[in-house]
Amino acid sequence: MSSYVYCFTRASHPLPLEGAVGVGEHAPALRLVREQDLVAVVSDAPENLRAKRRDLVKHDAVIGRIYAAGTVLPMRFGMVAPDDEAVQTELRSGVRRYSELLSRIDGHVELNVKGIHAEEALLRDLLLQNDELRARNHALRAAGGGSHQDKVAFGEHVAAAVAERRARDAGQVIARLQPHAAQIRRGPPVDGCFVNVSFLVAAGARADFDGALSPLRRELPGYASVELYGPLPPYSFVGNEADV
Amino acid sequence: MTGIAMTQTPQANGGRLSGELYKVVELILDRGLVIDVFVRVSVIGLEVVTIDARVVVAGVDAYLRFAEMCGRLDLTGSSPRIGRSLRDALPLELPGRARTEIG
Repeated sequence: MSSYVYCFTRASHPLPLEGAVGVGEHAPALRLVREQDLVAVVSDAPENLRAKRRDLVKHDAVIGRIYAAGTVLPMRFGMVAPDDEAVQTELRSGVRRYSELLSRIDGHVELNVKGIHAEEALLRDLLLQNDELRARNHALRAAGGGSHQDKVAFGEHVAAAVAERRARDAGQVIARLQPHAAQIRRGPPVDGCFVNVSFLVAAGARADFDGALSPLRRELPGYASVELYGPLPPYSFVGNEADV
Repeated sequence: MTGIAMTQTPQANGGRLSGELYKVVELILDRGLVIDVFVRVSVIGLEVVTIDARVVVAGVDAYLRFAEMCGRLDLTGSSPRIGRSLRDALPLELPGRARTEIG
């Protein structure tokens, strides 16, 4: 039976797992795989697991429960080992790396910030501030919308201007929040967001980080809004990839 | 409204709201520790959440959409307020295929 892996943590972690169940419709029991000072939380891997809402919630709930009681290295959704022995082998070969990672994350939380542009208001602002775009828009309108080619060419210019604003506003979000973070990592692009970025923030810096949000919101243009999600298990800060 | 715009029901563990989970679903699917020697189950369908996002501002479809939106804008009145918060807006921005997959 293959093993679905939720997270790694230290053997000294309290691991409050009573009542928690794993992913899959049969709600498998959780079990621990121990190796030296490390422990992995696993369950039997269900057959044909796919990324259904129910299972994403369970994956995150198992990790969240452990994370609430101490430092944890969360797995990406869907990691399956051939068996518990393979998990143990991985812990053994990575014992130093995982211990260092745990130490680096101790006392920190991940805070995810997403910024969204109200598209219509942004386009309006772009046209009002850019004489050339406004003139071309006017000309196309006067021509009853213009040819396909004209529309594409104009739209491409607008897209470039939109991309510029996205980059500018994303830069501002990062510049204002980064001073309060130990690490920063851009999240995957999310539709509708001009920025998706996660910060690893020390517990002692949380108040300053949160305090930086209000002035940031005031500084950003009226068509931009930012939302804060977290604290989260440090999903963005356990990989090998470089920062930002 | 589709499944992804979940109501904010507290999870049994009293932890994060499941509604919030969907605001950070891309982190659970695209971040987190990856062990190369382990297999990763198929998450086709959810990965489009992030893949589709990369084409939003580029490509002919996006250009046409921008051109058409600009053509409809009223540039004479005062600037409209942002009508909805990010919390409301985000699920609506997710591609339809991803929505049905999650639901």
